[in-house]
Amino acid sequence: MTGLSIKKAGKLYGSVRVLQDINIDIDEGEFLVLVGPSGCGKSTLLNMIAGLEEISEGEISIAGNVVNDLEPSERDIAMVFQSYALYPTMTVAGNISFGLEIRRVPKAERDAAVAKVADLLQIGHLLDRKPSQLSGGQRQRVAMGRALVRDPKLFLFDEPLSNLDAKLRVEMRTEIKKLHKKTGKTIVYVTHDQIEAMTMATRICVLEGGDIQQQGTPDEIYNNPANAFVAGFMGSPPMNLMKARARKSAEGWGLTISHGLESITLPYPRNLPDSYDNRVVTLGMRPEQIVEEYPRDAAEDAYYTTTCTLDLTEPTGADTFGAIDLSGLEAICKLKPGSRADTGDQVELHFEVGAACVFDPESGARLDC
Amino acid sequence: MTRKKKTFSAALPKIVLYTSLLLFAFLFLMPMYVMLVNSVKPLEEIQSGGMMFLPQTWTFEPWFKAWSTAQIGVEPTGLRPYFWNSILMVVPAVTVSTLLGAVNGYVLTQWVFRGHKIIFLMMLGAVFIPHQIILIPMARMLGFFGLAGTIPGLVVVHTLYGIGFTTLFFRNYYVAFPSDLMKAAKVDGAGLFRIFFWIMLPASTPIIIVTVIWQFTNIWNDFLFGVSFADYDSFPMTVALNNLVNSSTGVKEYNVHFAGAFIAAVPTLLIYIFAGRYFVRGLMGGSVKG
Repeated sequence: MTGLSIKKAGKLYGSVRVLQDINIDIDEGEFLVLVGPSGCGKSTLLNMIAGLEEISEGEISIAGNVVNDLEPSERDIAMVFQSYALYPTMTVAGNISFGLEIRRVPKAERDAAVAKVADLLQIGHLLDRKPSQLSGGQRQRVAMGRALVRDPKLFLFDEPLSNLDAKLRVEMRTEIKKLHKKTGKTIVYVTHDQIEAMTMATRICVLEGGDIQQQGTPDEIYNNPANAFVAGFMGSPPMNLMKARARKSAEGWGLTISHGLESITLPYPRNLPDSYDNRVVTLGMRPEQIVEEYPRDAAEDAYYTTTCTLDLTEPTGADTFGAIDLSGLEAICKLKPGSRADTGDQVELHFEVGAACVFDPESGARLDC
Repeated sequence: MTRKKKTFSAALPKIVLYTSLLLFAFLFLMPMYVMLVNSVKPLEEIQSGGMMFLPQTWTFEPWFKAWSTAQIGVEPTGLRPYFWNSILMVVPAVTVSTLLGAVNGYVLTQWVFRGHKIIFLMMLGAVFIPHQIILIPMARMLGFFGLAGTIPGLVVVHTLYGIGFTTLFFRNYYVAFPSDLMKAAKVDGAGLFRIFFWIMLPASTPIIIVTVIWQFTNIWNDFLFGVSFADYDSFPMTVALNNLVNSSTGVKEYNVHFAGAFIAAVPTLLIYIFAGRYFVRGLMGGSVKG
């Protein structure tokens, strides 16, 4: 069964277009993350699904029912907000049961539902408190409790972790993911944090400038980005996007990038459109595709090896990253764990050229196939 | 020696500050002192020139007289019936205008409709209309509805005149109300009035207190509307006080006048003492959102 289906949806404020031609189809029980930089239209899209913003064009259906003309309360959804949006004058129990009360659920049933949700989220001891007496993490739980208690067809999360500190954010991330596994509900989750998207989603939809740039599983988005925007947005540290000159010869394609005063020509095993011969393209390589240590089980010709000068090293504990000057940019590469290499050292680096992506320098469209 | 001089120059701003504060406090409290001491003094003591001194013989007779037997116009009723007139006027007028202001502010900020800015500007305009301008049209209107010279008539006038202020107060308070709360309530299935009575109003205590103090003081202290639109049996306190002072039965009973003036000021004083701190807090609220 479909969980959520959006067909050709668009949003206009007067004559200003903020969303266009949005098509999304997800199954029941999926965890869809809408991710993008601020102002990309992801929150607007969420509000359109919720019924808090009018749908200017297209059609949205939840669990098979078209909801375009339904009030938020009739759409069988529940929503968690970035600011938690707890009713300040009501207790935690009052906050959680407010929606049920409006739906005239009998008191005994209501209390049972509140108790069940409080148990699930471990907030039973807080039920008589006011929101102002709670910590950020507790408020977050109450906000989720308010959504869970309604047992809706679709959960909407609007950047729910943005107001938490870094440690709590990681904890709640895990918790939301567990909650999703446990309840099996369809979730639409908005965030600007690509790590949240990667870790929680079963399906990611990357938005920018009111358009869907790409949708797919976290794996597809990460390993097979559709364009330079997605490639640069997803991943931390981000993909290195370097200027390279493409040349076709008898042996195949070669991509030349400058390294300080020298230049490196990487033999590119995949095919590019002929029209890009002798033109500048954008070469995208993730830090883990430029490595100091030759992977043990890799084929002998999978990597192109050359010597580079390190500009900087960044030990992060588990990994050590290095910065090298490639095409005038500080490209990030991955050094051996515990590497002793230092600024100015010459290191031998292995480029996994077969995994690299090539984009059009202007449009950002993916060129290799 | 030099050390002492230094501490003196450092303390100088404080000395200046406190001296001037004391001076102003003295200036403001002086009339109140004169009113109080003379209201508990026999008339002869005042007439013999002892206006500034504490009474030699204490008496509360002037208070009783002002309250229940003094000559107001032609009737020796004291201020008592007019005090109740004022209460009967102030309570409904404050309640209705505050409630309407709250609903207006709520709709103008949370359920915006096309033209809401114009509507608000027009309501804001009511704040700037001088009282004198509306006297004659309002008299015609009250006459037309048969409310001329009655307390309900005064309630209507004060309510209408207050809506501009109360709407302004509530709009400015609600405009800073987090929009996510409204969205959450809508998703929960609450409608316009449910959200208002269950979520907005309970969270509006500071601004309700500000509005009530403002409306209460203004309506209680109003003289012009009272004298223009009321009649002998519906005059509010302020008009009666004026009549008390101006009814000459031979001697001017200053002690009774002072007591009467004090009685007229008591309700607003009480309101300010009990809710004044909210007034300052409420007016400051929103400027520094914590």
